Amino acid sequence: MKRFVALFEALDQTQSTSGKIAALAEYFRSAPPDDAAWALTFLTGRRLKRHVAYGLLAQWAGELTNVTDWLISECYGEVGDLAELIALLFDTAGLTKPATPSELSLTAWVEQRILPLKGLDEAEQRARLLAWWRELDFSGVLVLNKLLTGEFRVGAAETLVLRAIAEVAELPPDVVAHRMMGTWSPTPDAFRALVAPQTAESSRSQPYPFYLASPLQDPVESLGDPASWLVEWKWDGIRAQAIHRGDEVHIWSRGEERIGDRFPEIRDATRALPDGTVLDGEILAWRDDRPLPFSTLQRRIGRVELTPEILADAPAVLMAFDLLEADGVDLREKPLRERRARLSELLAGRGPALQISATLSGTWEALAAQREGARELGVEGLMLKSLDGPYRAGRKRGEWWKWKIAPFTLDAVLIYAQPGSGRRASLLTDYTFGIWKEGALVPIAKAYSGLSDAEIAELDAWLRAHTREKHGPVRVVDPELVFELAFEGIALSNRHKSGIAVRFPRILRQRLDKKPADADTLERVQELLRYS
Amino acid sequence: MLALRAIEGGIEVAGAFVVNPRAPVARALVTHASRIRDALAANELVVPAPLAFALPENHAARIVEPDSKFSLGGLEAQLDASLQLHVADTTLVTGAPSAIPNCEQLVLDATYGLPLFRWAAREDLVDALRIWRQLNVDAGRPMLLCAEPTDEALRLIDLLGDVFAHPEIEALAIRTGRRVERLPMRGASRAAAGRVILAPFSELENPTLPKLTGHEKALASGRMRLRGNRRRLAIHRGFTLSSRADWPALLATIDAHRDAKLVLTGAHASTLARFLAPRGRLASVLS
Repeated sequence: MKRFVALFEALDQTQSTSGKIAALAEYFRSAPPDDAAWALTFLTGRRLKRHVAYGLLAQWAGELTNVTDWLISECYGEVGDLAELIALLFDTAGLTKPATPSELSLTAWVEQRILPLKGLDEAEQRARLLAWWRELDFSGVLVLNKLLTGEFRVGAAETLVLRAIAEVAELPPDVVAHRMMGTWSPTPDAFRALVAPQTAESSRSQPYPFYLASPLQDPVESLGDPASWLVEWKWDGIRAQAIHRGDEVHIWSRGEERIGDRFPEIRDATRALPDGTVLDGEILAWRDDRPLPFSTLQRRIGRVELTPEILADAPAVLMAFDLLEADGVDLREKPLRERRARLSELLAGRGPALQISATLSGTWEALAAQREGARELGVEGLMLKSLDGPYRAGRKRGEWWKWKIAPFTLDAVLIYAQPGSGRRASLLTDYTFGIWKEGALVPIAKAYSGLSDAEIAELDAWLRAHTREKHGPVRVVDPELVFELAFEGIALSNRHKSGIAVRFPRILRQRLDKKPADADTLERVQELLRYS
Repeated sequence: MLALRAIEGGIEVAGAFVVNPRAPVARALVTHASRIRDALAANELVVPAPLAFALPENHAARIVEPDSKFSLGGLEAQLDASLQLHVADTTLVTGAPSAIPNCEQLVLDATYGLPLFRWAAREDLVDALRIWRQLNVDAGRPMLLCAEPTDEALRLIDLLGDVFAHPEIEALAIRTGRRVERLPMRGASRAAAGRVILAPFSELENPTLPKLTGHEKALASGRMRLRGNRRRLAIHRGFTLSSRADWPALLATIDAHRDAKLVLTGAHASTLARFLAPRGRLASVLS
């Protein structure tokens, strides 16, 4: 554990990419494979199942340090991270100087201590936690708490971790990224396989790292001849890879979750494809040749059991747009032109669950005109992909662009604010906005992004000076400031007071020219529903 | 009586600091001597009219009226109707509680009035600075270290010794008899390779020093106790250092002055007042 804590400290104390990669590489070079496997698990955002409730951790830390619940809540508003809050409370109380510091390895901590917490009663969990906390110094307590809470943000993106592994293993980073896709099992063998020379076979279930498009910011004409680009609709669904290898069929989401059981019709259609096939596409709820709203698709994800009614109400398709593997051969280095031709051939005459994404053509002007009609078709704009480009891993600029339509916008009044978390802790950065309904403001959206650091600081001071009431961390503020919000979609919702839910809301700007009375009304926002 | 004495390059407040002139004993305690000293040296002293007689000859001062708020060396201050001066900071309080004279009214800065804040022991801070400095000396990188241009910057000069200083800190250093160097206008990065440049916080956002490249950015403040603050400022390193009182010092000071009327100010004044109330200490909050 000491080595892992030292890595955490090293990563926490540098902003430099090369410094982070050097610290990570040093760790993976020197750590035993079982520790390295667990470290990789945590550093790539995978979490342990939480066996101790957040509230209990806070309560026990409070008992140990004589800090009452309300004061812990005040402190949390300042820190924004329970793991760190507990470590700070202990340190202030002088409890982070253990007489006999723990010498257990990371693996022993996880496998012999943390995982067996499952199923223990509360009293036993408490006794163990209190004893463990006393074995660790400040950073040790912090890291242990992060493992327990799963909030392991350490400022090293997964790509950096994989680059460090690639350096240690002397492999191309893409190979390491591919090997890490899918189900990762934190075992010494899995780590050895990850860093093994390039002859090791990949698992049959393993998806390829997804290639992600970047937003087009320059004028579209800067891309040159439109004939060099494949143009298709930008679908608003769940990005997925469908895999048929041997007798196995897997549907993976971009979040590396297996979602085949949520979409049996796509899974069955994938099984009918030839052995050694991997498709990339977007899962959509689909009826009458057009996509249904994203909220319909969500019903397939959210329900524990897929009833015949849900399957009928939200029929799903995979809108395929790329072929990554055919006949067991990796096609990613082939130009899109060739991959796409083979995809069309492959999917011709298949059932409705596997469709091929239609392509558009014409001058940029004509394409821009078609893009304007995107909302009517239930799509988000256009995708532009270089016909000569390979299928890359991650977000690489230059060959895949998303050319989205302008988002929906509305003017809303800032009504509540609360502190953010992590780097935004202690600043009021989580805002709730309201629109008018029968003379009163009702919440329509929460938004966290869109303002610069300077704007956030200025707004924070204003909100503190204009707080009407405090309910725990939430401040009810004077409803005086109007902001323009952007969002991608809108749907009816029983869970929101306004009866409406918006997707991906973010702040565009403060409307200094508008008074609260000029903000939008629920009636106007409801009109937007017809586009969704 | 307000006692002042001249020191080289400035004027230092000594003794009981600010006293109600109608009752010249320690009626109120102004708990930030360094701020008063800076204010005096910068000719920014704000003085209630009845105290004006105590100023040294030819010393410029603004005269303020009772029951008013004003700024004192960048610090919020308030003169109440009974001519007691309340100033928000606690340099003195960070020392041993017994070092603070008995007083009727104890004004404490609760900027760090949460049980999260405990400052590192001096030797731990020295170690952290030494290791950080050595790493950058080895890499030949300049180190920009930002700190409040008060006692905090002076403490860093004392701990680090040989440093370049921003003009604002240089002026403070000269007034207090310390020696620093000024960064050359040309070839600053080369001249500062492996050396520390001490500057106020503003240097991070609005640089006024000669342009540096490839430098390490660090900040020393009580706020650096929290990772979120370090991450938000996108600095390489944060050192926890403050001349304000931490939580244990606040509680020890309050405990040592059981008879004094307690006045709290700073970001967490209300929280500390709420914490103290069930413990039998009532405090008023100066907002």
